[in-house]
Amino acid sequence: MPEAGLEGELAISLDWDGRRVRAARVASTRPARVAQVLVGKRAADAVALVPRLFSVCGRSQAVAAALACDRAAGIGADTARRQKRSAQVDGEIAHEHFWRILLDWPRAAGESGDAALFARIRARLPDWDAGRHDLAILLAEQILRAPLGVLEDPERFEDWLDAGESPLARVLARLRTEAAELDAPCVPLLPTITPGLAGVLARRLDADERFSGAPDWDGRPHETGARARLRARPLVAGTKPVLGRLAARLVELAELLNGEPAERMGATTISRGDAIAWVETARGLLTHRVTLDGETIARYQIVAPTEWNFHPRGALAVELAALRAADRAQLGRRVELLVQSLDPCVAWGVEVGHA
Amino acid sequence: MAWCEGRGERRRLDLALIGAQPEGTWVVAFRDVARQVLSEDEAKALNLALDGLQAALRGETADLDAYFPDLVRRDA
Repeated sequence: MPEAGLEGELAISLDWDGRRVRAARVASTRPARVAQVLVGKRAADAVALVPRLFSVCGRSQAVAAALACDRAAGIGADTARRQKRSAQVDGEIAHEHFWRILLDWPRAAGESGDAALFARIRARLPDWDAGRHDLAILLAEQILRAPLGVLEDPERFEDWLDAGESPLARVLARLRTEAAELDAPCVPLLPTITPGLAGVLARRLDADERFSGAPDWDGRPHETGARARLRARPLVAGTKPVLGRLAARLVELAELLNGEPAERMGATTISRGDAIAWVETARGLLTHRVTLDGETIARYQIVAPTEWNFHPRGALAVELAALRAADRAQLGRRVELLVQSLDPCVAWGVEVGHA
Repeated sequence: MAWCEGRGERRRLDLALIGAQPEGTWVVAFRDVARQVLSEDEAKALNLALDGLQAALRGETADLDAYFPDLVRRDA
């Protein structure tokens, strides 16, 4: 088990009878009340602190904090600031998706990945408006080694996997084989975030102090992430869930680099001095809820995508509980693939006991 | 790869994304991959902030300002 720092970790434990998982437990040791340290701070200081405390998606966290605090204080954002925040969030999503694609998915398929290419891409990302054009070309020419159109529908995607003309195609073809055996019913996808939905989340946060650590919607855990965002795209809709989660990130990356407009953030007022904001991040929906007392933070609540997907009865738990494997090595590969497909923002470890 | 120590942990981190670094450099890591080099000031501020977080989580809320000196010193 990896040692956990302050950020905590995901502890997965399985009871395995040599063929099937009989029981699965997913527990997070993430401190549930990190946001508490922001109470008593001035809003501007909280916004500065947030990316330090949550560095994995620091820019999206900072944007969510700024949106929530501004809205609670009744401050609107001008166009320039909105565009800057959009570019920051888009660039961060692209960064995370490239990381998964170039480093994590190959590892899940037993390959070493391309750190040098990722490092070159990272260097291009900070200048988002100019960089993304180059990166769209790079995605097609160097990573897919095919036109971006192969991501448009399941048939073209399958053909591209079968042709195996790029390392990524070969990696995904191998993961496709593994994923084909993963057949669990999934938890439902979280509906698209709206001010109304955000208002409901705020009321749940008011009513239940455990909600931020284990959120649910409509009485049950839901899945968030690129697959939820892009559920209507032909490739995502036409691909089985585990591979679909990976495909969704590829599609989303292509759309981001092509500058396709998308609503990825917003905020709504709950009452005077009280607001909730959201940002769709690489891993899914992030929400910050802020209550101000004058200029200082009286209450701060954060629900991150990891809390949705790694809920004790959420997508990972449900799908782990349905795993079959012929041997311990195959079990390990399938667990890794499942976890990768949902992409936690923390380290994770697995213990397998015999049922 | 390099052995790195910080905040009570010792881990072997992959430096492929940031390149070789002189001993004593602080980095931010994610899943055993070093993703960002921190300047001395950034490292100091971040370590203090994380200390403050740990203090808050232990329930020591009396004087958290000491952990966030750059924020406290800013003009109101």
